[in-house]
Amino acid sequence: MSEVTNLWPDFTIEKVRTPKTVLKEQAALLGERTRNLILGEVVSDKVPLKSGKEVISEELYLVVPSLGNYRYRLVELYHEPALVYPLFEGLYLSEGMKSNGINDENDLTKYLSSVFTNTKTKTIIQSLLAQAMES
Amino acid sequence: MKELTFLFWNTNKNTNFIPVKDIIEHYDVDVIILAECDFKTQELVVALNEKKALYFDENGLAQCEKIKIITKFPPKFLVPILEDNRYSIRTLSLPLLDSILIVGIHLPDKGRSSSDNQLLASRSLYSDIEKMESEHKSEKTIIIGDFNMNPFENGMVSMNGLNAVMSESIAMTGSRIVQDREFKYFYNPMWSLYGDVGNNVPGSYFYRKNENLPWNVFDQVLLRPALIPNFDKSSLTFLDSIGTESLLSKSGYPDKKFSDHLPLIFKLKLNKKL
Repeated sequence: MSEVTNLWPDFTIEKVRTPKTVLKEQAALLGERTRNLILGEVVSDKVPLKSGKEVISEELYLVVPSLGNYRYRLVELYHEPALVYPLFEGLYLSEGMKSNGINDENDLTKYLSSVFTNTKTKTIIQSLLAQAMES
Repeated sequence: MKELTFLFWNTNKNTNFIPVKDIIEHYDVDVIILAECDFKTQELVVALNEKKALYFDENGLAQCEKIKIITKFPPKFLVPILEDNRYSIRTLSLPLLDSILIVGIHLPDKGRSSSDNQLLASRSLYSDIEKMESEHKSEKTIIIGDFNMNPFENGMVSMNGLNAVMSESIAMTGSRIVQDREFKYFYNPMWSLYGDVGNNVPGSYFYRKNENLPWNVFDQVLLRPALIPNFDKSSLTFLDSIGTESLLSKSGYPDKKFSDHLPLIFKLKLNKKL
């Protein structure tokens, strides 16, 4: 009896951390940095486009429990349902801090770092912290 | 019941606040929502309060860069609950009156956004509004601002956008069901302000390069059905003058000395709290 030939090619098996996981980690770390005065919240949604195609949105909100759960949406990213990368930036939230595409976790980390350390973001967080302390 | 006069104006980064002040005084406006506001709202408030201290500056919690709101009542009654760079969702809870949600917006423009992008922006806004309506157990929501879309565009009318219909009777049915999913309506009265029949101006924004649609109605107000009975349709208008001073150029387009958009004004009643 002849040997059966495996017609399948070789596959690379690597663990890809999804953008949602990365965002959730960063959301948890925000609480650490702000002594839980400001928390991070990640929300995912399926968004249909005009063309009939669907994309997945991943959003990161700042939440301030002591200010009536005030929320500020800081990050908005989209990807196709079958592919976690590339990610497309929030369509308008990130004006002034555009990146050249987020093709892997490394790009995503760099992108998030640029958003988190942006002067505008720091100003928003400082202002919310000051008001949370007063409340 | 109390009637409030609302003004929305994209002031196109004009640093001169005097035209805004003149409109507020002339029309006795209660809620002033500004987009592309490049002057300090504190200076406007100080000027308005020169004779009598009537107006209040922004709520200190507000972080939305693109929208500024000043009011004729203390800011503690208009509290931001969810914001991003382009919109601010707030609760308006005046003493003894029904609470409503007020959403001030300035959505992305066509220069930087495809129609799909505008649809996504509408969808994000709609989803945040639904979230806040559910959290605050209210369906009395009003959206006011520069949508950068006309009332008939996909982001405005699609169930995946703002689901805003032109007809009060359709809006009053509450929602439409598509594939077992409920999509609640907004009512968009702005269709009636498009074109020159019965209107002082054919729109609020003129863009000569768009030969098919030079006049646009980007500046709009949308209401949930629960607020339609409180809305004074006859008060809805684009202002083309402040008293005797025209806001239009000699050619009849918005005079950029003031702004490339015309101001939108309307009245809304708030019911007594039961």
